[in-house]
Amino acid sequence: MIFVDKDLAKFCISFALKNGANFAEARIVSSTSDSFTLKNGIPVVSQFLEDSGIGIRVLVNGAMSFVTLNNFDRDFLKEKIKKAIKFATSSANTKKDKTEFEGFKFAKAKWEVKAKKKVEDVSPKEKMDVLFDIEKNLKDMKSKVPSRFLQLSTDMSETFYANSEGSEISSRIPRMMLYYSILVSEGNQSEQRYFQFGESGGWEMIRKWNAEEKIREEAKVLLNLIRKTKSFITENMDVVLSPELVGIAMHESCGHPYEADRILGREGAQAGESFVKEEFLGTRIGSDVVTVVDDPLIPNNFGYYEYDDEGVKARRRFLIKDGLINEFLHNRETAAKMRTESNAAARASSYNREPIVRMSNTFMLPGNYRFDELIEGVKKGIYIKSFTEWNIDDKRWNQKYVGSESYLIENGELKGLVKRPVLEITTKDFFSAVDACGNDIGYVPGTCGKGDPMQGIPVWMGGPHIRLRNVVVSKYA
Amino acid sequence: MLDYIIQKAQKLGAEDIIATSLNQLTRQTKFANNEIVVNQTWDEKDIDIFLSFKKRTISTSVKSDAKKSDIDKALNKMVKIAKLLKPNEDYFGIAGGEFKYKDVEEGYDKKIENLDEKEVDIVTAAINKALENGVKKSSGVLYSNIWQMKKLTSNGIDGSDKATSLNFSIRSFADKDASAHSVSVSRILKGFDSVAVADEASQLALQALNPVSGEDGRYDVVFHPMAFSNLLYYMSYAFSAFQVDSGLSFFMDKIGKKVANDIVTIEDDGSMRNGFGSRKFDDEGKPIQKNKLIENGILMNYLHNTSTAKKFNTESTSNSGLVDPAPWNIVLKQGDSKFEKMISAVKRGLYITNVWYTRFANYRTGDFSTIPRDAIFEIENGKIKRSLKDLRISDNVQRILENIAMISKERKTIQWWEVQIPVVTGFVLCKDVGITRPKK
Repeated sequence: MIFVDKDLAKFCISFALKNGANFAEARIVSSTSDSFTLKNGIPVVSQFLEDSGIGIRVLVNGAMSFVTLNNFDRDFLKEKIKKAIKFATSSANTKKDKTEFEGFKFAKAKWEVKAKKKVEDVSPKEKMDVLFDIEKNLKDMKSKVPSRFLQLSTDMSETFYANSEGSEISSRIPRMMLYYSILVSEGNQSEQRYFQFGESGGWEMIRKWNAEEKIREEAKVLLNLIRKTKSFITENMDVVLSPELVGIAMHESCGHPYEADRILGREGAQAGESFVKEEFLGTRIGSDVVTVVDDPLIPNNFGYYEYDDEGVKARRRFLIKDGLINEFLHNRETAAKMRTESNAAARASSYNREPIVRMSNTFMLPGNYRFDELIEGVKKGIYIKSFTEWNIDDKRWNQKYVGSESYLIENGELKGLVKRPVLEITTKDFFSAVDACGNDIGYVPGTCGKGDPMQGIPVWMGGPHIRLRNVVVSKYA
Repeated sequence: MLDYIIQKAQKLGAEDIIATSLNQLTRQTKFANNEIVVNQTWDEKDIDIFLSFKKRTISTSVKSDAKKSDIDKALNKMVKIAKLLKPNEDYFGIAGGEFKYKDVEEGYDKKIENLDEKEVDIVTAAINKALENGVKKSSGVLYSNIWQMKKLTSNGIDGSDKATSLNFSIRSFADKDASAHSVSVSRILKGFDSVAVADEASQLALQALNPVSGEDGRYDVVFHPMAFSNLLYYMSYAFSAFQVDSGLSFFMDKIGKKVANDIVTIEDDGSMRNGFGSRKFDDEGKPIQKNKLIENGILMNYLHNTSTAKKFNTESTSNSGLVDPAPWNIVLKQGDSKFEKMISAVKRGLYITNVWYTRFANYRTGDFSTIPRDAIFEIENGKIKRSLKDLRISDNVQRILENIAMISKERKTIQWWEVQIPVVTGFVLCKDVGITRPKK
């Protein structure tokens, strides 16, 4: 790892203040990462990277400027900080609505995610062997799985954050991710599945994922989707969704629209705005069994943090409580605009990105139903266990999820696979249709994209199995 | 330092080596709700290193101010890791030869280097134009970028390149469900016009006022360049020989076969004048060339680097991507039609001005959906009738290509947050496009 020079961060802050900034912060990140890939059993270019750099953000007369460099020469930094202040000054002259940060946030802390076996100490061979084991386990099925793309990535990041209000936060977090895409083919038909595992923690996590067995089982299901499925017609029915489906829905149609920067229009020309308005707080969006939280503190979650990238202490956020819109995700900028407090949702994907409002781990809270009880209560419906194509509009209102592994339910029993059932529904109809939540919980990882330039950040999303009553399920066109 | 990297890596036993230094200065002025929300500056200097060691392939980056001892450490680590890996059987070397490079015409403009705080003026002039036209608010971004690259390889390639660019994107909102988006991109200051695109976005947003929910069905669709560039960008992965070899392209086994309507010709042209993605050479240092991908509806070629070309028994198309070949500028050949002519040719259809969130159910078949995110208009008997909302395109890319009926002569370069590779396209009329919507 490249040394994180804390004095340099403090030097930059002090220099910025002396040169006209009203507020300054500096974030130094040093990371070691690697990535190994197998394409149809053949290793492609492997990568490793030792990277470090600094991101400095200033407020000058109500205008914000961010500058980032991967060169730590102090004279060079001074020149760039001065230019950043000049850049902000030119904008400040045009602004009626001044940018400010809420409150006075001051924290000194140190946190880390512990690893029994450090990811950076694991040999490349051992990492590649994880991928070869997946290949081996598909051995007798390879002719049916002509496309297999497997990628294992690990990352260890050390961050030091400081600001002109006296905050100093040091952190250390290892992360691992395994992405795969498989395509199963027979005759002239094919079905595809892509998914990723991801956690923060040490190498000891890797076998817990049981990736080789999961991928093999999924390949079998994809083959059965080609060979034999039950037919269904487009009509109103009940739907049971797995934690994977609940996770993506919570992320897309609850987490994103509750990001206060979207509500305020700051991402209007990029990731978009939100159907949610500030005055919606306290209004009903779903049935009273729906409670959705975003919680960075669930141990080992892919989006884990104890302090956000503005130095604010993390906590669980209740976005929907008993069906009512309860809370938005805030950083200090959006909290100031809405006259509230930051709830520690500021995240930056690296030193070279500004911290913006992000999710960490968004999930629906469980209820009391066993899975068999959810199914038993369905006369006619579909259970969607995994999904393929999905999307949602940029206001987060109109969404589509296409089932991959999905089963017909008749008179309370699972009756066999159905091919690509489509749930195309508005956000309010989705949450209003939930009548029961399982007593289980599951999480899936994701890399959430937002910001300009794009910032892909690790997140989890999840929930229990849930049941939706009387919604339209369509055949895939 | 690049020389040192090549020599040192050779001493360590590496066979093919590529060392590339990239110095990049990017400035951004981002605005929302008619106000600048942040100014950002990236000043980053890196050296990328790729090497092969007995067919094991590995890459890394070091900082451009790295000392020789840092370089030694990185190279030793690369070789140490390479020795532990299994061979990359699909690796067949890098480009080599006595190459002459041609400058990109209108690829560099000193004036962009010195814009500084004038960038704020460019943004405020555009915001003011949109306000003058009567929209409630505009959001968007201006990027200015300057980069310099130097590349040295173990095959004797010694190239350098430099570029400037400006990229302005504005989305105007006449009301909460009435928006439109436009962009202006250029490598030089001349011809770059933030006010003109603000005018276009705001006028279109005003036309989109008071939308009603549209109905699902199959429609003839006129795509604005913003919308069609998204489809061309998202389908462009399928031209990569790496994706074809992976079994994930709907163009697999289709060279020489009909994959689009006769009027469709698609090229990758990394050498085009003022091309936003134009450059002198690819990642292996091979001079950029123009490639016909689809000609009059027939699939002509995939995009190749040296390794994929060898595997497919053909020549590299200068699109390395050391792993995955990619296009530089995706160009849909101009047609002979006009936007107005297309609208009048449609009995029952839609005019879609922008889409986002394009996702595939299956990359091999091209089944996908995407969502209109700005103005949508209903067309009836050759006339725009009213503004619509809440619709989604749910179809198949191959079918879209086959059903293209008209392409305009007028074209535009599109590159923005949602379309990362520059696309040159006109308005496109496509027959019988699947449209869905949320159901209750």
